[in-house]
Amino acid sequence: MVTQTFEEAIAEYIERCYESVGKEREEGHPPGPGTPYPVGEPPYEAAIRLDERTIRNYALSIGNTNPLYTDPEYGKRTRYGAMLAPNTALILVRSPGGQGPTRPEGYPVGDFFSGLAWEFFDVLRAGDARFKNTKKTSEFFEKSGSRGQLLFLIEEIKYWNAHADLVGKCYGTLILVPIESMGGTRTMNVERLGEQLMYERSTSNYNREQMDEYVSLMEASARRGSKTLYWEDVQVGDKIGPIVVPPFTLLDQTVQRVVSAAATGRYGTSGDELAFEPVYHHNRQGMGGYGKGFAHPVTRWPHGPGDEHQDALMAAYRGQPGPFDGGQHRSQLPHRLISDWMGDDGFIRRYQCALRKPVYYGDTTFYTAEVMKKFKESQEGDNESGGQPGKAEYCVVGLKLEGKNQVGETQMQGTIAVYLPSREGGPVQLPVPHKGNPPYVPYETFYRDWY
Amino acid sequence: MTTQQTFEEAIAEYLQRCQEQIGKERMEGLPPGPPSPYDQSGPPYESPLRLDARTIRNYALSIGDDNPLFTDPEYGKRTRYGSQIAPGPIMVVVRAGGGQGPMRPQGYPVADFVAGTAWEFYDVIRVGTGPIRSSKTDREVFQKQGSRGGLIFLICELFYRNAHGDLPAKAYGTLIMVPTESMGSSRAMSVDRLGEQMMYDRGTQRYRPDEIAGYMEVIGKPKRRGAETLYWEDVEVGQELDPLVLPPWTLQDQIANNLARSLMGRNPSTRDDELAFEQVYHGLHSHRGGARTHPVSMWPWTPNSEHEDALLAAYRGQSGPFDHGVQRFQIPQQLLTNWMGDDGFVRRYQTAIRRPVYYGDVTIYRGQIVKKFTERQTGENAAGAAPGDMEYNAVGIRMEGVNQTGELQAQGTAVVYLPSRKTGHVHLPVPHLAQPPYVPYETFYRDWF
Repeated sequence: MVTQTFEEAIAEYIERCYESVGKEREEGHPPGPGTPYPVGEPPYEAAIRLDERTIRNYALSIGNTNPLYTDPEYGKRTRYGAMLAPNTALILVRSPGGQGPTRPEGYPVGDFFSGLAWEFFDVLRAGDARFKNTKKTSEFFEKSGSRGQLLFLIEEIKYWNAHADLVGKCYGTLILVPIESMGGTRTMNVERLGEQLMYERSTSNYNREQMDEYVSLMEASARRGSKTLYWEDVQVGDKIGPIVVPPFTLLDQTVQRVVSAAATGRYGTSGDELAFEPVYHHNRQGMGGYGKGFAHPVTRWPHGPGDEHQDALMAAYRGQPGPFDGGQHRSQLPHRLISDWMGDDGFIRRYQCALRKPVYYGDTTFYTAEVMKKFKESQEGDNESGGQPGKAEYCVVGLKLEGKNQVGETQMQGTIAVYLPSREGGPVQLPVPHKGNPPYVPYETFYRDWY
Repeated sequence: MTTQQTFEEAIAEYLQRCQEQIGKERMEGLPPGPPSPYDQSGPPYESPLRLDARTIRNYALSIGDDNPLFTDPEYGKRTRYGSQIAPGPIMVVVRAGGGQGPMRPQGYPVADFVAGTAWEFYDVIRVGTGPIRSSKTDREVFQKQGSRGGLIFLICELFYRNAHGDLPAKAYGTLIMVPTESMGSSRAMSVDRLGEQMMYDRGTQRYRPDEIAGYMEVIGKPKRRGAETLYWEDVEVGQELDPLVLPPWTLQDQIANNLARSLMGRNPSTRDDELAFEQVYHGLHSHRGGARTHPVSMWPWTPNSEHEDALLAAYRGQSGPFDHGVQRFQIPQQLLTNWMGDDGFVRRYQTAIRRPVYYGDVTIYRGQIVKKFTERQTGENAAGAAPGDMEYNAVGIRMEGVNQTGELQAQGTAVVYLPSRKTGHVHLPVPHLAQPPYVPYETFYRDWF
């Protein structure tokens, strides 16, 4: 291992990031030899099978109990004829985020998944399997934030189903924060733990009035279900929600990592690490670019990056004062707000969210949206491989999404375009016509009001 | 609905209901309710668990076992079983020996600790094993005086039947209930009394660099026999099994197993859809006995995170995050399978749990051969039985799990059938009666060889 200074390591990292633009990312490859998945060139086959239980577990892991996603019998009575998965389940096929360029000892950057933008062309049905995917770094740029230099890695992910149809695309935003106290590697020296914390806020204390209010909001939230919402009945200015995510627990934040690992393999890895000794071996080998384990501040045992999220004593390795949520997990939670509102017959065509401050242990989040725009758009496809030929006009609603915590801080912002049935034009025609290779949507486009 | 009881009255009622429950089916671990597709009739009750290749692999990993016999379908095809198999204790996902005993909406003021399980296995459990049905009957209740006051022991008997009606396994579960005065007359302790009655007081361990190096050295050694057959003739009384070191306990270690069981179709404590988030709140709302007030946020519907959350552990009288007993008693099976290789068969396996495994604890599991013998197994020709009369070459093993401070965390015994150079491989299924007799606590708890 070369001994580098912090500055040298960051310079090398930035250089490798620039070089990686346009190339396939190293995270989320199929499980290795010994498994039945082909190892080779992209597009890669994902290990996930969307059977009924996997879909249900996934829906529950993002707090969505909608029977459209949890009850196979209910799904059969809808116009889809099958149980559906929330489209965001594609995150289990291949997830945005990660580390960018890796090496065994890692680079001295705290990685924060900070947003994503989805394009969906069709629903996901129970039984869908053998998804193929590619994930390429599409943009890299540097910005100056309130805490210094920030590195932005943008990627483009494409998802094809077993019939080679393109069912969705995702653009992920990863922000990397150079952290001087990590020295030349991803592993901060335990002696410097806590030197550079990004925020300082302790667990909130709720009073009786707040609890009563949150509980009554939770009880009041309603699901539209099979009752069709027509485009004609929606007005600009309509308010959606709130849905309340009650005080965040360790269970809440761990659930999706376990669901993901149980369905496919751990986030960012392709191995067998769920817990225990396999995790230890994984860390020791420096797989995943997180270095060779972080010394626990009390036991001094070398633990891994997953523990930074849920473990109060390890959170400082990511510059956090306490347990904090997974950004990718958070990006999926507002799905319920939209699906509860639009009912079974609506379709989410575009879904973008940007994460702001972390959700800490004990935080309550309120997700709301507002109808900002009502319009029609035409979609045209082609007959190329993965494409969907045809031309159709859709009735669209543009929503602005927001997540705020109990102290009024913004935790999420986003925009969503929903296709709704219309009294004149009938149900939303699926799949949405699209080209075999739809054009790339750059960060500067999806990051703004992407209706 | 809530009767105003004193603590003593609540405990007296609980004990009386435990006595009345003897011989009856326990109401925990029933199939998910409508609209799920599971048959609601029983006992025996249908389990939602389906043993596909991934489920078996996830289960094995959630108890820290990455043996390819359990995780790699292709490897399994090359063994004499002709398929991937599951570690026997996976039956705990079908139905576990723990629980709460008699229930009421506000609960009873007892802290529940799964204290051990004894298994009898008659066959390997293969990938593809379909709907499994179970019955769980209370068999014994008794009180003992522990070092910290009266303890209530609830012993249950579980039968597991596969889709063909065969009996691959039986289990006996031990649940120790600790009457906890600070809970008053319900299961939910008042937040103001949190921390009054702690069972143990030990901080998170600090390890010296040489201790860590020592554990790493053991972890780094090859320890799995695999396909190379271990013959009965080559085993001697007094031999020790290679130790198994579990690295310092993390929150992930304990949450992964708890959630993995939910994902397989069985939430350990409910019939409903609670994994996390608002569903948990609604679940708590309908079973008020489970609700706790968080000591800092003061949120009154904090989920059953007493195990993994340092601030909530005091609700179970613990000084910090502590492991799930249900998980721990499954872990030493790896000690046996690593040692005996693919061709051995665990016939009986009993573990009793001692002190909790706390966050940051290392556990070192060891085993020693204490008996070498042959035993006859006789079956019958009835539904659910396996006919025949066979002699097996058996080895009796004593196991223990000790933590880094030398405290005993688990003790157990196992009987392993091994192939013999003279009589060949272990004949499976082991002949057995349709309804093998009950083995009482006083028998399985001792050296059950």
